[in-house]
Amino acid sequence: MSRRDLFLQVIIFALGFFYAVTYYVRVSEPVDLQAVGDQLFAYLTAMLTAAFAIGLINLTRVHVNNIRRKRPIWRYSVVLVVSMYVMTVVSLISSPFAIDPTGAVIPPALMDAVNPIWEFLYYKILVSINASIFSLLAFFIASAAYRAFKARSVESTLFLLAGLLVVIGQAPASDLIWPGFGAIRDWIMAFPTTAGERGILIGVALGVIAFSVRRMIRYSW
Amino acid sequence: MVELIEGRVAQAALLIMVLLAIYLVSLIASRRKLKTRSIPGLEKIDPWIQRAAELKRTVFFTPGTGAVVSPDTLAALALLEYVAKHCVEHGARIIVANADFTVQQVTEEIVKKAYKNAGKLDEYRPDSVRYISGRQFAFAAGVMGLLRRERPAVNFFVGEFSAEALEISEAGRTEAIAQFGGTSAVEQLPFFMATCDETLLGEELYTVQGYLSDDPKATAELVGPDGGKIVAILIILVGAILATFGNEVLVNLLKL
Amino acid sequence: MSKRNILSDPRLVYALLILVVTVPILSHAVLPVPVSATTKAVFDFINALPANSLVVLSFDYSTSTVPELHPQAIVVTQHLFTRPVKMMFVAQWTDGPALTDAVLDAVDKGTKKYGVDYVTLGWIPNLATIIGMTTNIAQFFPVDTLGNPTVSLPLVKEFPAGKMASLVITFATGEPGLNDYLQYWQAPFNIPIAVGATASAAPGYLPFYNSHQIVGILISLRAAAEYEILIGRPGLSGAIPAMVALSASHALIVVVVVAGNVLFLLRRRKSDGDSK
Repeated sequence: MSRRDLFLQVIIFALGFFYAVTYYVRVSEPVDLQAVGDQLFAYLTAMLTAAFAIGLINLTRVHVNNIRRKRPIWRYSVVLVVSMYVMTVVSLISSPFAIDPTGAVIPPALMDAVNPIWEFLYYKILVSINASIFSLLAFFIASAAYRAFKARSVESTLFLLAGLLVVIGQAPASDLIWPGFGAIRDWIMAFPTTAGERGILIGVALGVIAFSVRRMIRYSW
Repeated sequence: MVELIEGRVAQAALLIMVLLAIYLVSLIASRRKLKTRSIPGLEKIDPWIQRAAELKRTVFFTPGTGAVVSPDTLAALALLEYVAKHCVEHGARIIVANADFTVQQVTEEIVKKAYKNAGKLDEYRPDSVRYISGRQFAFAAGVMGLLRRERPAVNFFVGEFSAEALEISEAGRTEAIAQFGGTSAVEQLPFFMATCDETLLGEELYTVQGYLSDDPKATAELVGPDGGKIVAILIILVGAILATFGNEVLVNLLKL
Repeated sequence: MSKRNILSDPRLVYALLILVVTVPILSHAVLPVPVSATTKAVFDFINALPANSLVVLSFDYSTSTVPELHPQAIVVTQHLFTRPVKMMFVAQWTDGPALTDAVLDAVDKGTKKYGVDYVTLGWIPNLATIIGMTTNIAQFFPVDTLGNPTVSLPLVKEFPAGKMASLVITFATGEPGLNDYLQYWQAPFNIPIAVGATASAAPGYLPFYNSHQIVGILISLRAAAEYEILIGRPGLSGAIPAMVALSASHALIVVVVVAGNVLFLLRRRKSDGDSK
């Protein structure tokens, strides 16, 4: 291991061990370790925010380059850059994320004028577009179910039956057709589903513990 | 003043027991050279990449929407090292799409390093590694568009995913000859299983580095967490039997 | 295009899905909505809260899950505004503060006053804040979303620490979300937690409900419709009219899966017959 790698590994281990210990042990004297941990978290947040700013700069650079060189779909790069900066400026002036909510520096008249623009861009465009892309899931679930739920074997038939019973049970109208559908759905969700999920959760948690310790001590065991 | 935090004493004891169990099982595994079950998906990666190179099509990789501190993302980056190395070896172009800019920095380094180690740094293209968006569905829309335009032959969706998992894997399915998925998010696993040819389920994601490594200690890495599982199973069994007979000793102990 | 190709084409399924969703919505069809146990559990818990309890509402979802979680947030917030409780609004996702404002605009606040009965503290930037606000809210939220110093707000003076809350409700679309409240609020301080979840995330929360670590789960848009009925405000969030469309889309999935299997078995039988 090079000196640089060793130095980084010591920092990784020290911070990992510090947070592991302060999670279980409260040390208030001579130094309040919990407060130190909180402060380090604040620095991490600041660093991640800075990384976000670098991302903004990188996106601008890449897409302005696309526009300058008239690469294919360069027009979409124009849309991206314009919408990115308009939304940033408008949000900073007047939104729940405004940099001066009390109006100490930015004139309140400007904030009042910009607020309807922000509300339109956020609620009418951003919310609608995001919800639309999320709604594509409904179509993809339908086509994935059509393809995946096939009675090829005993196991897949059981899987198919359980899936169908839960889908039927989840429909609001199913309880009106027969209340038993809801009861079956509740049983499937409460027992086999919960058991399977718990098993995977425990396995994942153990995997994360082993993985994290290996990263901390850079030792394969 | 030093004091144990209330409500976490049992957790600390459990963690120590689990770590000891993992260590002991790993030690036994490395000494006895235990055989482990194969993870078929991981063995198919190289032939798939070779096929993509023969078809002169790209290989697509995304480490998901998690931050660089997420264990899923770190495990995905370990797989990316392997995938990038084999793409460069076989001459297949790799495209990596990121949702987090800190992950973008790391993936850029990994892909560049793969080209550099193979002595082909001049073949590296900066647009191989792209930052799409930090917003979940903007990322999904960007990746779906990328998959439709670039038509990669092999897709890797490995890392931390939420609802966008099904959208991007379904979008890639139409053109790809093979898809590889992997996440520890329980609610996304069924979607990957329905759309991908091979899927890493939950904890298998964290064994990738060990499985693909040439290190003889790798088997120990794979088997170690099973030691923790033995502890968990014993506690669950004992607790269930005691609780069935109305004895809450274990339940109360675990609340300490 | 051959008959086989049409039947295998996913676009047929997509077209049918559009039809079964839009026709009920445009025709304003309405169904009675039975109330599920997990939704009733949340309703009953809120009704049983003593007067002057603190409820923390955490808006941990983004604009993409607005169709599922926003109606839940509206109906639950409206219920809380009719109860003699106090509220603090926080958010672990960056869209949370804006969505909080939208919810507060949609509900009837009655006689409750900002600063006294409810405050909007804003976005929780990191884990340290989630942990720290259990003991000192003002230190981690020096100002609220309107720029007021939190130490000057009567509600924060009355409840200076998050651990004094009687209930936390998180409308969670993923992480960060429920797990942080379970780890740092419920486990050490025994604060009851309820969760509003999307349909895909809800199965992952059931283990916590079954082990009584959370008091109830609101599952998707259906829970919002059920809650509207429970609080006697049908139409408040617009969830009830969507129930027919929801039921129809579920029915379509069942029909499509059964049809797919029938076709699959017929083809297999045919190819077995051909090979003989």
